Amino acid sequence: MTTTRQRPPRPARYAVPGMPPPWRTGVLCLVLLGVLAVVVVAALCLGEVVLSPAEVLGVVTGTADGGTTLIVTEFRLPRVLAGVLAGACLAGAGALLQSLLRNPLASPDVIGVSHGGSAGAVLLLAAGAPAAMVPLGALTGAGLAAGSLVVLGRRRGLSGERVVLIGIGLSAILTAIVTWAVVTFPITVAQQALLWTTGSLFGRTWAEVGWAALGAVFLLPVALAQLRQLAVLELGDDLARGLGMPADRARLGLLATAVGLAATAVALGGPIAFIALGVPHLARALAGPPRPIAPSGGTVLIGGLLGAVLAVGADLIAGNGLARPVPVGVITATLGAPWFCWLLLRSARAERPETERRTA
Amino acid sequence: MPKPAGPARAMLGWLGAVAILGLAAAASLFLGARLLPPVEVLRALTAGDASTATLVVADLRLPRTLLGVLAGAGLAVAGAVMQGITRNPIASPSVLGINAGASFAVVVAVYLFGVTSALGYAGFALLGAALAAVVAYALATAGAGPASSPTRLALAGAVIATMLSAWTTTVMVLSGRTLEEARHWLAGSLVARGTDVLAVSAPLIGLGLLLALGLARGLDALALGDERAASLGVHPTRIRLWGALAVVLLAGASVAAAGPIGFVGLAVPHAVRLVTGGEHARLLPACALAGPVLLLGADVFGRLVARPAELEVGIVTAVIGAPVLIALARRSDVPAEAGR
Repeated sequence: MTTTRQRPPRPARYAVPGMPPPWRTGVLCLVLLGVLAVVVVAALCLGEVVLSPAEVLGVVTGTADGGTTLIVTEFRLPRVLAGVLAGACLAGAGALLQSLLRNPLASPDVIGVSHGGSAGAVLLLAAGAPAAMVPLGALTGAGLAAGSLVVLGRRRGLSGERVVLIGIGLSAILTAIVTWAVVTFPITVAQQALLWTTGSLFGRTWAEVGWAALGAVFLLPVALAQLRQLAVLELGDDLARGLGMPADRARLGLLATAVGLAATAVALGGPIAFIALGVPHLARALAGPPRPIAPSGGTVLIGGLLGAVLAVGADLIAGNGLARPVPVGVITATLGAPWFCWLLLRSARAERPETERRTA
Repeated sequence: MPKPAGPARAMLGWLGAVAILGLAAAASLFLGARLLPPVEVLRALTAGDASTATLVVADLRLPRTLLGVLAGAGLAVAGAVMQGITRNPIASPSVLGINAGASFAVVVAVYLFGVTSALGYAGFALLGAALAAVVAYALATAGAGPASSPTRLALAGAVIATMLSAWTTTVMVLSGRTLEEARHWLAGSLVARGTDVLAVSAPLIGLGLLLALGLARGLDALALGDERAASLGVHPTRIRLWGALAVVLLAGASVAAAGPIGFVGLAVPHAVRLVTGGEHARLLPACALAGPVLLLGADVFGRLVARPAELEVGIVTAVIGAPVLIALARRSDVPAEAGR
């Protein structure tokens, strides 16, 4: 590739030329934690009854009156925590899958886990099951989809290409189930089904949040521990074997973790649009060059926090900012997409073609 | 990758594919919710009287079959071109935002303007598909200059599609009337589109097919990577631009006529590639034959399985097409590195 004008080499400011300063990830994480705290407090304050931050603080110290305590602990806190968990889990699942399947478009939607959750939830809704059962249906659906993916994809090794193709097939079948339900059942069921497929955090209970938290607390550290294997897999199977790592077993473990994270998030809030697809890219862009597709611990942390901020912030807008409450997935897509586009445009101007192929 | 077959075997393969397409078209004409004897169907096709058989066959099944052939070919070839220009196996017309754009435009048209006619749906769908694709393409290439990377194109399209489908859902969740009106269109169906829709989409799809075939050599070169394609005298960005135009013509017109049928453009090229190999001069015509087979087969199946009601073709394509894709993917020995 020939470029028409030659760029003068940038003076190296740090020990490794082209690398971001080592403190960048830490500072970013702290900033994102701060933003998350602000968004969470705002989400606890705002609603049909507007509370002041002092009143919310009163709930924490136990000095608030019964009504305020009820609003915060029973209605708003579960929903906010659900947003944090779902956002973080989806972002983590997306980051793992994009590297594992070597495809920047890979996300739980592509391999059918999200659609499995949607189909399970929609079938239960159509059968007239009580609302409390629906997340269980989503979890079962996502689990079944993931199980079939692994069983069908595992044949003389678990190749990324084959998993993607089989995932596409599975998600097509599962989408067809959702479409069939939307076309066949009465309008009210169809609307609920659509709500589920976009992702919504409305009316989460402590029980649901508790189970999801258990899943996330177990899976996120596992994901961080597996990142090293992911980096080795990026070098190619032969090299991984040469380094003494059974590539297929590592891939199976990583796939299980990613799918578990996605299933946890989908059971909690449905496949909230854009987070799994977009946040890993945003996290890489924020973390700075050299942006390999394999996520590092830093980019996974940044991504998880970013996903949580985006989910809670979007839910805040979805619940309060508009004339009528809309599903949170609509807001994540509407806010996330232009930001993503802006990053895409900016990186097009800033990057040299050589680095471009490895990133974005 | 299959071994290059001898010319005689290749000819046999093409004849077989055409014969299967003929069978699918015949099945679409002869089978349906109302079971007519074959003699009656043949008479109805030629007679042109006012009998029930003529009404069913000439006015309902024939346009439907033609639409199935057109849309099937359009979607499958569009998918193959899309996978070629983005070098991404997940890419399909829907990744360029075409299905999402068409769906959103139709839902908005129903919600705001109360559009109900088939031609109105088709017009808005075509407009939405083209707009979404243009925005996605412009976004992917703006500022990137000569190096409009395939990944960038795929990502821009995927993000536009995510955003638009979220908006589509919002409109339908907020307005039950719109959902009631548009949900059958959104599932994808070949029913009762009328000949005027067919007359609009047929020339567009024909033009798109010619354009795509003309690009076959360039797409082959692009598969080697941008640098090598350039050294072979192929301009990668120009191929991508023309390819995107072909995709908009093919998939836009198909979606306008038959609704957002998602699976055909994604799966048919993969299935066909396992038989023909990756050379586009063979892949594209084979897709143009295999796409209609899947769509017509699914349509006939949908007519028969839920008699006297029907299952939308977009639902059936997935249910009968996906197991085929899965089986093919399992059978093939895709090396682990192929995903790069």
